[in-house]
Amino acid sequence: MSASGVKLELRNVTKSFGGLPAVDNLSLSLYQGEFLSLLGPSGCGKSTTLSMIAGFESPDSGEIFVDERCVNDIPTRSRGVGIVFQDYAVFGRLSVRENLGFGLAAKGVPKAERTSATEDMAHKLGLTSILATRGDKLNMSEMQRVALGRAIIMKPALLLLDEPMSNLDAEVRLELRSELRQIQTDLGQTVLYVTHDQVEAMAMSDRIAVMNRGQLLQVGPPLDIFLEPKSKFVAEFIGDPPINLIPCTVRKNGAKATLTTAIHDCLPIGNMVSHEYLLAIRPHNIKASHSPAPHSSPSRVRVVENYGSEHVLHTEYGTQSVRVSVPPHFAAVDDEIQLVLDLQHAFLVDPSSDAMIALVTPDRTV
Amino acid sequence: MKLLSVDGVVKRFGSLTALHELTLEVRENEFFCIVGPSNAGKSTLLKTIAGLHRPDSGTVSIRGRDVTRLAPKQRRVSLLFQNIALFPNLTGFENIAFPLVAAGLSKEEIRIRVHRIAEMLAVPHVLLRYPRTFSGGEQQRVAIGRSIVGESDLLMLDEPLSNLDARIRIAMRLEFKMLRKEMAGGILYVTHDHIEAMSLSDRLAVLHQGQIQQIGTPEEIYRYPINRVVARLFGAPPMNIIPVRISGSPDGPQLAGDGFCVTVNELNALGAFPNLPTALALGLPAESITVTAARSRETPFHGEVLRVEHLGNKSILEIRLGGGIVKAVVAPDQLTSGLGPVWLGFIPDARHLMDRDSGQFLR
Repeated sequence: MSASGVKLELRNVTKSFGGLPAVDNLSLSLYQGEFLSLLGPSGCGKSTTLSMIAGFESPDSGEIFVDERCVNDIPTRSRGVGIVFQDYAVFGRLSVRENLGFGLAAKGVPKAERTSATEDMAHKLGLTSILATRGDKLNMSEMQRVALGRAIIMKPALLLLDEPMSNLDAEVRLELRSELRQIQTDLGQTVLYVTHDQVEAMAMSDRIAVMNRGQLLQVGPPLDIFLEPKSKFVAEFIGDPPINLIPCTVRKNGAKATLTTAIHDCLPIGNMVSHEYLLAIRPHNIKASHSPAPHSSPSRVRVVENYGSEHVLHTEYGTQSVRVSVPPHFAAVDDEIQLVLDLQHAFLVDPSSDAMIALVTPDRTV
Repeated sequence: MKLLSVDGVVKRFGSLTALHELTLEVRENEFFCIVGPSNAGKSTLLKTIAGLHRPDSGTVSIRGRDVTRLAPKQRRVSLLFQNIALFPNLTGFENIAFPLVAAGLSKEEIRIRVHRIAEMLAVPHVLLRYPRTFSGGEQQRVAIGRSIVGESDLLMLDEPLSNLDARIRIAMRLEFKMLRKEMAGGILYVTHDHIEAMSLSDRLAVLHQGQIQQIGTPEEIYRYPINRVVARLFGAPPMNIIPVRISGSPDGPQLAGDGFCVTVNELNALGAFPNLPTALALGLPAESITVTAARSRETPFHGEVLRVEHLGNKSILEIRLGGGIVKAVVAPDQLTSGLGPVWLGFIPDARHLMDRDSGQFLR
């Protein structure tokens, strides 16, 4: 057990396949009891990172520490790392008891000790009444608990979960994710969770690490990443419906400036340098109304997406379209509505560097 | 005009009945979704319509023509499976052109059609490349191109997005929505994802254990599911379903549950009160619950927030109410304090009263 509470540390870890960097100089720490999601699209390097932590792959350079011990040259089974694979991979022909005790048995733990550990874990996970049930007779919730229990019983410093829910029905996923988080919190298990699903990552994590093209782009609590993305990629990757990116021009005028887009002309903003930018604004920060309002401009609805509790309108905006979140039945295809940009919650993207720049509005000082 | 009629179709595999007297219609130019959990019979239904399975009884008709006994290729339908299987040794062009070559069209005709489809799906740049160089979205679009190039009457898609990254899925969903405007016939689309179904379809059918539970517009099904199965499938989080008792009071009928009691004037409109079933439950959509930090007239019931999921544009609260748990959706800036005591309120909808034994909502 480490004194500092750092359960995992990656120091400048790099891994290439055939000359192409899959993971590029990645540094990241995970703390005791933390649930951290490694989030990114296919091919971003998240699974390679997990494989290196587990010991299935070796880094080309850099160090991996588990409980402050460098594990680069230590085999998987001795790393103190537990792994839960996709679809949970519970042994169908073994009972819940045998599944839970599997790792202990393989390690040669005496039967009496194994029995007490298994029963203790079953009790913690609410599996006591089904200890004799075969793995292939379990429902998804039970299967998740057995898979978690089978790994946690080995007392790993760190538990790795590799997209465990990605093949499951949406309805089941929703239930399992809150249950997983509950178990993780109750048992204080440190978890690294790999996923491409940003909603899942937002819902479950203490912190999210966003990766793209082998690089770590941003690490932070879910809401910080949603509200303060540091790059265009992170802004676009987090949030459903996705953020809008609208070309705009900022013109400095004395101590103030204005912002002009394809349909919104000369919106007042604070003191900013004249430049061409992309305006990054989330769909629920564009206010729609049926009648003109201060700084509103008309726009025609092209597509309506029904999300159930809200509708997302795709409305004409110059040569592109923007997404606007509205209550159900607010507008139909071909309706003309008025749009107001809530610039207080918007950012500018420098198109040359893709860096995010806070937008100075009259109401928001930076 | 009806594009597709499935009438009383039964399909058995040995002792297992995969489809139970299934009946549905898809209209001309309609985008119709079939939603259901795994093993509901969704893929079996598509394969039966395509002619890959022969039903044990019942008929399948396309534009009034009974095709039940016809071979797949005589039906003018195309079916795109979940796992995209592009030919790795053929270019994008050759992949899309495949059905046209098989049908013996002229080279010139093939060239025109493939380019038109590629433009429509925004993949002209991959026509000369091989599938291994395609992104997931490009592979998907080429596969779709191949399935619509033959100009079938009905395009059937079996979970076409479920193997893709969440981000590509959102973008592709919009492309399907645009695609339907270009299509001559109709689209029958199978998914387990209710948001995908609602955002895409004109109408949808909910399938569970080989039986149709409900057919309607996304709106009808989302707001007024017919039973517990449908209610659980729609909504993220799904509608709360809470046991309640009904009793008379001077103010009118009252619904009492663990931790709350509400007067429901509109219950009289149900007509059946007091002949309602004794075991009742109330459906409460997560977004219909008002949550405040302080007690108010609208929020008279005490609860305790156990968990918060911040999704950015909204937050999901897991709240203890009496001895039970309800989930509520609130705006992100509301209740930033997190866990602890809160006050709840809601105005129940009489159409969300359920017979707890049968799982059917009362109508």
